[in-house]
Amino acid sequence: MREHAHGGAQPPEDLLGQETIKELVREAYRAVVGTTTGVAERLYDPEQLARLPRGAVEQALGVGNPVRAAGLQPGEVVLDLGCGGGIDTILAAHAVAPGGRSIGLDMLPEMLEVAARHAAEAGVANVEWMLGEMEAIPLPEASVDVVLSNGVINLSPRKSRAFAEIYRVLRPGGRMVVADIVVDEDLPPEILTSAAAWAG
Amino acid sequence: MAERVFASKVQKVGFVDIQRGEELPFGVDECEQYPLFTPELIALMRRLIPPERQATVARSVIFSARKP
Repeated sequence: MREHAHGGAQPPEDLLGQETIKELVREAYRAVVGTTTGVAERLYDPEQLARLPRGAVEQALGVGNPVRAAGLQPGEVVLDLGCGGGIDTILAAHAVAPGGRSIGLDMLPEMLEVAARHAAEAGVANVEWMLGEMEAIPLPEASVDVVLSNGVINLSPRKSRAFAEIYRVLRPGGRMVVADIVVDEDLPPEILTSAAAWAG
Repeated sequence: MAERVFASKVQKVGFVDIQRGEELPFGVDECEQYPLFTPELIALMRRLIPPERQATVARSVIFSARKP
């Protein structure tokens, strides 16, 4: 809960509807045109960057390096929530080969098209692309070994639901590795009432 | 989202072995590279957040957890 500018702790959902938040996120990310490598160069190892097509590097909008932290093993099935341009999905596909596969899930079909093109350029074949939302993952129960997400959970207006879905699709013993933004101190109210803050 | 809220939500759905890994400072300069942070919002952040805090308005953290 966050202290609202006008007083009283209220969940963001009460002030900005869930669908409104989702639409803000969709619009913002649909408009993304990757033109910088700054985010990727800050977060990824040179060895990882060398395995990626330039487009995937330029469209990186994560906030960490969950693939490096996940300790992926050959044969594992990985789900990348909110895959965007596909950078983590592609890196995960490399890490779980041979025998494993990497699934990129995104709510924007245009992002999935771009990600699939990047994967083809990277020469990875053990990838699948799936249209859907993290609050209703279109996969069966206990079907993946590892769920990754990178700067995505914060964009959900229903974070508990997203975590419950991650839990549902993981096999017993499976793991979740999530990179995301946390804030410890209150920011000025004018910033907290922005769309970016409501999404986070 | 505050870190304790994040951990609490993860724990409530049943995850165990919740761990915090790599952490990076996340400042206004970093925010500027993400689509939800409009130029107007970035300008507001630069104006309202004290300069000494602008490089560390948030942190990016890697959390891991396991399904038992």
